[in-house]
Amino acid sequence: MLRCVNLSLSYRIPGPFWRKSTRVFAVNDVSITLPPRQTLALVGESGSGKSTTGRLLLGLETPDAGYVMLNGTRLPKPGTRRWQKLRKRLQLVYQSPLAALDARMKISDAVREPLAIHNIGTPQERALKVGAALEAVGLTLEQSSRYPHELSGGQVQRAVLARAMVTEPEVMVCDEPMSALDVSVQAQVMNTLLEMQKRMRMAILFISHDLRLVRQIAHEVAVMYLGRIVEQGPTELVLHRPLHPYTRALVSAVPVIGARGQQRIVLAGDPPDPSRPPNGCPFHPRCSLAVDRCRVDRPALRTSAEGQSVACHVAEIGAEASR
Amino acid sequence: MANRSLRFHVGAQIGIAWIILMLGLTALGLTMSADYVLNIDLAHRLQPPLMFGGNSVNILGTDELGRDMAARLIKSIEVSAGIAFCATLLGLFIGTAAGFVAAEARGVLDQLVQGLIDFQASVPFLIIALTLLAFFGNSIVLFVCLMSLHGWERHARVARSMAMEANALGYASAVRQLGANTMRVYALHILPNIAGPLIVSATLAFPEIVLLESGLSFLGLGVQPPLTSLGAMVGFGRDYIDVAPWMVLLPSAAILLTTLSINLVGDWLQDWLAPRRR
Repeated sequence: MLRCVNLSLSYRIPGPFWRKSTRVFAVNDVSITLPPRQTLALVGESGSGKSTTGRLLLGLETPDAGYVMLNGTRLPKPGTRRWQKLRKRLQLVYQSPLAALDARMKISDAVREPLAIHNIGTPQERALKVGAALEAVGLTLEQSSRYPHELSGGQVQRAVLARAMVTEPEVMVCDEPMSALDVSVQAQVMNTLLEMQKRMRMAILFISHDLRLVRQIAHEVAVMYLGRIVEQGPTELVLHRPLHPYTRALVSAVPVIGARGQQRIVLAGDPPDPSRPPNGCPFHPRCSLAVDRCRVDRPALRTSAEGQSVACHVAEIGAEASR
Repeated sequence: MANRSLRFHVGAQIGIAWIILMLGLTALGLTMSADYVLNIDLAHRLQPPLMFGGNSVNILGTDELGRDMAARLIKSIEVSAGIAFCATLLGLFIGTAAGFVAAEARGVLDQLVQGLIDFQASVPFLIIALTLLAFFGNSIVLFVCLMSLHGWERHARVARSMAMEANALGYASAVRQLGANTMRVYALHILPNIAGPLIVSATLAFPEIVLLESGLSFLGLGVQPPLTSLGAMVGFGRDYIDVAPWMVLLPSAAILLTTLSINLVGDWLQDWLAPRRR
């Protein structure tokens, strides 16, 4: 089980020498628990800190504050021997697969590499595992003997997925894994992920902004805004009865075939500059429900009886009204 | 794709033909006895080449001591090319290693390597060479080491910047995130990926080193007699330029053709090794 508590990561942006450098919080006070066989989806706009949260959870970055525990032990510092050994249990599926593969290495060699790095199995066993992983993502033998640039975007993405699953990790972070795939392949890859999850008790952190995919795969959803989690809970609850105004806007933006006259909540303006976050609730400048309190007091996460958490002062009133 | 092929690159074909001819001659030179190269025959000194009215024993004429020009030319090509080849390889190794160390260590070590690179690039190499030769005397090993210092900074820059790029985002960081150790990342991933630019950088350095060796030998600081090199031949022929111009012209032509050939091949390699990504 992977658990992180009050994770924060900020970057210093150096200004001109006469001004103090500014701090930008990419991730702010995020706590997430990833039990085995569970999928948690992390949704939010670009720049909301989803990817950084994923990297922190895998221990690829060191948080400024907070910590990450894997089965009760804290993750070691990046680059150390222990950290290297741990890599086979924590895997990342990359957002830009072509950049993540060595252009001078054949697909099958790239997929075999984690096994070679961690000294898993004999050459024959490795070949079997590689074959199984490639088959699971639907790549043929002929395709796997090619170089990355000779394959299509979707095929490369599946190769990266095969490389991540070949060591049978306990936790897999999928960073927008489907954005390069067409719908038929999405379904195939999705099924592969779900099957792997069942077979190997794998926990998945699924980073996406496609709520339809999230609905299919995730047991739980966390919504991020400006580096913070603003709403979290079981997928059904969060997507069907969103409490936070931001989540409502996200959910209303999903087009549904045949649903005419669906009320779409259009968010005003862009997300604020993360180096100068607004006072109070970070969402209040774009929120239609904002009251005076929202401008001065930042809401903490409150959890309902059904296990749905929300960071909003006015949320429950709105939710009760719609019930 | 097709225009990268060697078939369409006439310059590279000529270059390769000349290099093969040279390698053949060098192989011939290795079987030649030292006597023949050093054989002094004062009765037949300063004979012109065959086509300028010389005899058929010394096809390319003789020098001021009656030694056969053809034999000495072959020996010189062997020595000059040998020094340049060893020095280029050594320089490539030093430069790549320094670049990788800088890219991996960052911080103080990186600053140090960059300082050395800037020093090398900003001080005229001839001055460095003269100083070192004056202090340590001359030997063929020292001379090769010295020549290898020429061009290492370019290789180091290429290796450093490309390794940093790969480390920042991309295949190298991805492999690290799979748990690979530093050796594996550099030897199995970064090196094969940047081999192209490094080879091109080396083909740039090789003719420069031939010229540098020739220059130093011409000045009398490089290869010492009785050993000979192309530059040394030009240097000793200088005194006889009005009575026996072939003594200067023949080794000069060999230098020109060799450096030109390598440059032509380098041009083609640069196109041919360019990354084929979408």
